[in-house]
Amino acid sequence: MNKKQIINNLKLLKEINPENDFSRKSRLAILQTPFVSKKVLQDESILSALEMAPIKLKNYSLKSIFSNGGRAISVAMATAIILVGIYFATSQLSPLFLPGLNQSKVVAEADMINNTINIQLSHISKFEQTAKASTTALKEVAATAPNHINSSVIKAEQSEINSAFNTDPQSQNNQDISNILKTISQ
Amino acid sequence: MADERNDNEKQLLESAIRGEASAFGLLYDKYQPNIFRFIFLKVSRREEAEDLTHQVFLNAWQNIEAFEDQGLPLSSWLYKIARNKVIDYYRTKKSITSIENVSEDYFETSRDGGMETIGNKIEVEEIYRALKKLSPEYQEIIIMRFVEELSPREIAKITGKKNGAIRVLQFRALRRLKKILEKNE
Repeated sequence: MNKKQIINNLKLLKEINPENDFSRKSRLAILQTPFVSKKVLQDESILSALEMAPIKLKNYSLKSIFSNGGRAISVAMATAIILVGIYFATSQLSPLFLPGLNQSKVVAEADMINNTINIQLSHISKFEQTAKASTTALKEVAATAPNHINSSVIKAEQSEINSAFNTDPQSQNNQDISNILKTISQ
Repeated sequence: MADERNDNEKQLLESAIRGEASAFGLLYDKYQPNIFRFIFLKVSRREEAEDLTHQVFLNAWQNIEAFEDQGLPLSSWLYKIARNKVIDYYRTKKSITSIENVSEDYFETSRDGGMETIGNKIEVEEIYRALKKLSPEYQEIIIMRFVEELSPREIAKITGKKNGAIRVLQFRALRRLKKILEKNE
């Protein structure tokens, strides 16, 4: 085989080509990768502007942060920080500061609610007072009422009391007391 | 005609450097088969070649601003990236793929075109097997010079060698390949 034949045979290797499916997918994946201009990141004016920020990014080496390997991670971290910030900002903000909200209407509604609550509270306190008075009255009645209401039971007790009083030298007083008890039973 | 192609590529490159993905996509379409073939002939495995090719173009897209136009086509820069990727691949893999492990379908071309006669396929296999028996340095020069048809100047830029050294290497590589083929006959 001479040199010319060898070269011609080598040219046959040009027929080796990638598969269309792979080429299509690879192309799509590559072109969907975001393009970050390194020239912008390395611009001195931008770096100096970043130096004025509270967090000195330059100390963390911008070039290293935005290197090939760290670009995706840094973009993901920045996105996460922004999302967390938005979440806390919206959760802490008073509804009154939300755009499109009529402040005077909201205040009026709040006042109405307060008044309703106050009315209900006053009703509750009145009820409590009434309840207390009733309880007190019932207690008094319970304290002053005889042990029994049944007249036959009272008569029986009376006779017991009389016999107890008759053995006592101070029977006159006891007689007076028995007379009072008789009156009550009637 | 060649000047028109160069101007067109230059415009596409400038657009790609500005971040226009569609421009880079057109450059991808133009050079991806060449880079794939170059890598495949060196690593001998289609899956690895696809993966490395993808890495080459991803790297190129992400670093397109780093490309310095020194009167050479974009392909030279891409071959340089591809060459480095293959070197890294061998460093990590370490194991050498034996020619016996290369299955028949690796010699099949894409579905759109390719080998039509059995005779051609046999010759392709024969030349490929002989190529794989060369040293990596000779292999590379043969692939770049006679398969990819790059000029000695372009090869010198890609490999970092001098023009004269490339021509000497080319001569020795062809002579060695011829001996292997004659031995196999």
